[in-house]
Amino acid sequence: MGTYLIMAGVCALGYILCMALVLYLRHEERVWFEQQEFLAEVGSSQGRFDVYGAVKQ
Amino acid sequence: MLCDRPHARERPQLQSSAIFSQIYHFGFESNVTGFFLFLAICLPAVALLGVVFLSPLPQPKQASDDNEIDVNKVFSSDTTDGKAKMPEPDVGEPRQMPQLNVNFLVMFTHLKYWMLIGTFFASAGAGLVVINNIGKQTIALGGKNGDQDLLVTLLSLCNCGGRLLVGILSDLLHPYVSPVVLLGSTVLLMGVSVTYLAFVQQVVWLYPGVICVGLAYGATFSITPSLIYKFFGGDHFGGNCNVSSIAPGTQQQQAVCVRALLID
Repeated sequence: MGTYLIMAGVCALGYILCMALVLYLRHEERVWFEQQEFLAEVGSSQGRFDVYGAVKQ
Repeated sequence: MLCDRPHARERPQLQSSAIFSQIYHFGFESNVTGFFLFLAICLPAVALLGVVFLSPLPQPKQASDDNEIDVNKVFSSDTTDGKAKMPEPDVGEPRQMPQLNVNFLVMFTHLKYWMLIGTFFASAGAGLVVINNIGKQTIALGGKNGDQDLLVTLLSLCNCGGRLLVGILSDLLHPYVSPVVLLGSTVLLMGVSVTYLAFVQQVVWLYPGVICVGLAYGATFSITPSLIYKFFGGDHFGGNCNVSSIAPGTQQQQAVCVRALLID
């Protein structure tokens, strides 16, 4: 019984991790889209930019 | 391009323990020596037959990967007026994040890998602990010898059912529910089932818990490889997936240590 209860606690931690993963993925996606919008804005108004999105001088 | 939900197309696997436990019980009448001899002769024979009859499959033609972004194309310096040109967006094509293609060493540096593997570790490890202890629990609750085989068979069939069910659910719920959320649901089901099994006092009440554990266990093993593919690409999928498969065994060892400490 003790082992099973410990496993249940581990599963609860796993569930929390999974929900954290969902939030992390949403954050990652949002950052990527913001970066793409920034690149599009920079590309339409200024000169070249490097692979990191920074404008080359 | 491969589907981003390969588990939805995974070939259904009937778990072999469901078959072998019945062969052991009815064919050999719980004679361990005879059963082990049967396994020692029969399984290598089948494997050798596979060596004779298997042939490599023809490789399908690689279609252009829609998710791959050509960096040279995006950041092209091919300009005539000194200004960079942004690539023209394809009309009607949704923008998607570029897919990573990394090996397991790089994979270890990603936070999302550790989150995913922690979840897999919890769910698969708990399932393994139940599989290892269900026989002893049956005997401890006063069950007969045949009850163990029946429970193991049921667990195995539900394991198979979980793999099928999560593929169907993933197809049905694809626009609304992410596979990561499905994985979270399986972990939750596993946790509730294990808690339930901890408080069972009669053998007959073990069956619902074992069914839920089997479903959750199968679903976990079906979803996790597809998420590893989705997050870290297909070029190093074999290595990435096999490294990740260490997690359930590690969790099982932890559980054995915990049980030893509890018994002490």
